Amino acid sequence: MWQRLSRIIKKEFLQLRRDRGMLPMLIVLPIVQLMLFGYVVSTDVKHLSMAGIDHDKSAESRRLVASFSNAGYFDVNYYPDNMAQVTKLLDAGDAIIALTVPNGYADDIAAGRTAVVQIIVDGTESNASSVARNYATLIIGRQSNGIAQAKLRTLTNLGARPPTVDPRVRVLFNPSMKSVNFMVPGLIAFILTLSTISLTSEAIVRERDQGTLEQLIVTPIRRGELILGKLIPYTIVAFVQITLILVVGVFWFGVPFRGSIAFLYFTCLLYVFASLGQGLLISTISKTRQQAMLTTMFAIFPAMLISGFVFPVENMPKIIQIVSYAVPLKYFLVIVRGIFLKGAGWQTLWPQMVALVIFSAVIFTASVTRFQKKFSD
Amino acid sequence: MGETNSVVVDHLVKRFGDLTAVDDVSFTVKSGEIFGFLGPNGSGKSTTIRILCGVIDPTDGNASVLGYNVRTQPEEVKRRIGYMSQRFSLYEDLTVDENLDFYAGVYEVPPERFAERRTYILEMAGLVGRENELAANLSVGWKQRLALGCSIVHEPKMVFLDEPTGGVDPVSRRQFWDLLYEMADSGVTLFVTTHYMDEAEHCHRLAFIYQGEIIALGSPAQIKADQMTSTVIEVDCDDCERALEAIGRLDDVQEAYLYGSMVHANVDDARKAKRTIKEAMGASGVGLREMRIVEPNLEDVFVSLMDKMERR
Repeated sequence: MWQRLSRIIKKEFLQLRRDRGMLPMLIVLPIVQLMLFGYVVSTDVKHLSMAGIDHDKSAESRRLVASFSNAGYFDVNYYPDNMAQVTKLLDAGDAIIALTVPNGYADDIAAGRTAVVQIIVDGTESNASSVARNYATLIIGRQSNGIAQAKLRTLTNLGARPPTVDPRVRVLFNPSMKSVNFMVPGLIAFILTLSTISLTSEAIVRERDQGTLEQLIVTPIRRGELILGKLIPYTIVAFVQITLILVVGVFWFGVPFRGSIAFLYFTCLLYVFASLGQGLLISTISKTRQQAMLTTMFAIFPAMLISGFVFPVENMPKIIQIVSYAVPLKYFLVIVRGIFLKGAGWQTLWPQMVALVIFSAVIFTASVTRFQKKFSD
Repeated sequence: MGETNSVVVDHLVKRFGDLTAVDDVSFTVKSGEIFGFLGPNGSGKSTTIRILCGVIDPTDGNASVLGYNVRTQPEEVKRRIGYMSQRFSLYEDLTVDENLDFYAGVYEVPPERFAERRTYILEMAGLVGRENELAANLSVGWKQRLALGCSIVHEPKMVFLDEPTGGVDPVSRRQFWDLLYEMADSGVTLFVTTHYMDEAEHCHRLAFIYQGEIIALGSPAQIKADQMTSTVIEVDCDDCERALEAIGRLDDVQEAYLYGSMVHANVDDARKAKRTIKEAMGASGVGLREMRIVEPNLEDVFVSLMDKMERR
């Protein structure tokens, strides 16, 4: 049995090596995706281009505009004179937010009246604009608070601070709130999904396409041997990819790794089983390689969307949330992010691990049963 | 021990739903003979081979290969037989050596033994010096011989060949059959399906299968003698197409068909038929060069058998 199994594994590696595009793809693809997700898909909002119209031209109004650039979130790049120019800037996308300080701003404050400023936000990029709006409100709020306190002090002549509530928010696990820290662990999960499912989904179909499956079926190779012989090489490939992403993520992007490496690899193995099982199932139901490829895409894309890879599951409609329980990627994302950022161990992650084991068992049984060695035509 | 049987098929039946692919078939294949299995597409040829190779279970009846029951001991059967299909089933992205090595591993050939087998197969297939060439780059004839080599790497006593010469040029076909003769001489039993009637003539014994039933069985000479009740008239003329049409319409002719550049007609009464054919040729303006009674060959037998079956 070992001789047959080892020969299948050897053959798979040979074929993988012969496939010109394949091997570089398996190494380069994770790195490119890591770079893309690490740099491009950043949900952090910084240095938003801003336009500021200061009709008041007072010390007070200049302080307000300056407080926007000081925070680091906004760059006040434009100082237009009128609304028409603001509209033009927003239309062209040169600025995504504009602040208008009306004439009489300083006088209102001095007189103790509520001063009104206008914030205009470009809503087309909903993510950035909502963040920009929050930051802007925060900055103005802080400014207003400072003015109010100064006023109170002079009114009461006490010199003491009036009582206020000042929230000190401490962000646990990802204190710098960098999205790359959230992305890299997710990317391990995603790339594992992508390469294992697509490689295995081709595994059996390729044999069928070449006519070699017909040949293998009349040899003494057993069903289990053939499947194992196909899966072991791809598991090894997957682990090389995990290591690659881990190294680049930690050393290049400086993503903190707080958990146990051994535990991470163990959970990866659980997940690899679950996704190899999916690939195998696709492989056994597909008649041609194209069909297998399309089915793979069809399976991966929704999984990526509803698993919480980019968008939080909590924000999804109830029905989608229920469907997401059938997506193993969802559990694995919780596991990798937990291990990476929280240093979590099996004590906290066991429900997700159990879910993966159950999923793997079900999908493997289904695909092995489907892959009937005794096939009829 | 004298003559033994490598394959024993006993009232074999295979149904797929309503369709009966193999209908109560019985025959035996003697050890060391080349057994030809003939029949049109969809006649049950492939199904029978698959049952004999232990790939699918028969619905009813029994079959044994090399003494092992295909239903209860399929793994024993698979270990001991070779199988080669018309698709050649090579890994095109592996080299000649890698293909051989893979199949040797699959059949668990011990490494020392494999070294010997490898040399033998490379020589037999004329692939010495091409060990490191990708299978994809080989010509069809070489691919075919490599596929044969892969299927006999474990020295099986019984080899099933499913249309092994499909799409191969005549020279390679000839070389291939020489290899088969050599193997049969060394005591290997060969079970071959083919479309080519000249290849069928090379077999020691033949079985014709039609719509799941065996309609003729025996040596080529025996089959010709038993089955050919009618006489074959060969018509040499200057326009075969029109001649075929004219002859086919005659009542005295059971069946007319092209044979190379001639027309063959199966008839009961040769003298009467010759006369009507001549008249028909004259009437349709086809120039008749020659007309003679010929020894029926297997193709004639085959056509006549089909014709009988269709009339039934």
